Amino acid sequence: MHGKNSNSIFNLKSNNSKLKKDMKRQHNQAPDEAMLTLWIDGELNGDELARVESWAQDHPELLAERDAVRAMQSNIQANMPASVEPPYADFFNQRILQAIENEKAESAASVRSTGSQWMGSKFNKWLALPAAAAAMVMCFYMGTQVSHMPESVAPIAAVSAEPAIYMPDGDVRANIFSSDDNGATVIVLEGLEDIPDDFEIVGEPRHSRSASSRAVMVNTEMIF
Amino acid sequence: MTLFTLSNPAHNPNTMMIRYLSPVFMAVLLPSLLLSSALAEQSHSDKGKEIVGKIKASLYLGSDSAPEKWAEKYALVEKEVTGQLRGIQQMRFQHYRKLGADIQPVFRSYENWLAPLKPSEEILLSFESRGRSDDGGLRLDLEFWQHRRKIMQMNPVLHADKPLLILGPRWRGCSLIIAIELID
Repeated sequence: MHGKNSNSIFNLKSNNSKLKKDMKRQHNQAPDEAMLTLWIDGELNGDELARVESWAQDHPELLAERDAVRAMQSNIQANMPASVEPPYADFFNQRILQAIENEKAESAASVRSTGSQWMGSKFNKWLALPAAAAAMVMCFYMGTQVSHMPESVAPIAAVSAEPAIYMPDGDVRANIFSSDDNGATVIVLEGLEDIPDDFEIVGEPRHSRSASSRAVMVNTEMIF
Repeated sequence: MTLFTLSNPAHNPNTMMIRYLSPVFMAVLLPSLLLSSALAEQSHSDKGKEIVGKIKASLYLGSDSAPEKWAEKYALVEKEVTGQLRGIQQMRFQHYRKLGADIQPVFRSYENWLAPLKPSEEILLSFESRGRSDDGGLRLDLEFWQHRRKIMQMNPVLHADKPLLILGPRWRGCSLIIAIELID
């Protein structure tokens, strides 16, 4: 009985020291990169946070990195607005709608052009091989004709005679007409602010014309 | 003996096929493969950078009063241009001066900028090709920027010898005139 008890005590002590060793090992074990990233971003809590914090106490370079990242985050949050209104919102929306229309037209055209694709499924492997060979021979023939190809020219587009004008600033108006004398297109802009006399427009760029002028050049052009 | 013949690489059906087909492969298929890869490479080169035209922007100053001292440093305007400007009522002035000009290529699918007052960026024009019109003109998306602010956007068709003239803001009692023309 006595022997049995002493055996249990021994086992308990052994387990306890094992647990302590595990905890010590876990404490000393470096957290993985994902854990470190979460820690730097301030997204850890509970035991995980305590473990990484405790481990990081021996790594001042990581503490410094975390402080720098957090300082940068708070700096960005302080200086960046949560949301930004697009400049010339109506024009922006108009271009998006135009892009959607173009997309629809293109997809309709591609549907028409792929109407004959069912033929592809009829090709069996016996037909595909000679077809591939014929295509290669055709490529070869086209290759011999490359030097005789005419120079490429810009695609021709049908255009309406009257150009469309968009004025982002509602106070500015444009009067457009054609000159009878020389066929020039003339645009008279009305409502523009005069350029201050003391401002030298020719020469080195000086962007701060006045304290109130803090316009930023933002191109709203979309790439379609 | 039969065993020897079968195991001889010279009589192996695969080897024989390669031997008979290799001249065909070398003569037709290999060049066509090389050519098609060359053509594919050519098609991957950026066609958007191809120059499809060239445009010029000139900036003039128009005034009815005699040019002041500050304006005398700017060049006089060619008679042809003066006549052209005087033909338009809104641009008819006694005196004209040329503040600057810039010539830039028009890329097939890339935007480019004209800065007639270079290095000043007070007046800028951005433009992008929209292809040739059926009468040979160059269709553009054109933006007029003043003091880093977009003033106007339009889609003109430029023709050689038919400039686009914009009567812009006033400065020091004079009117700014921007002339945009297709020169190539």
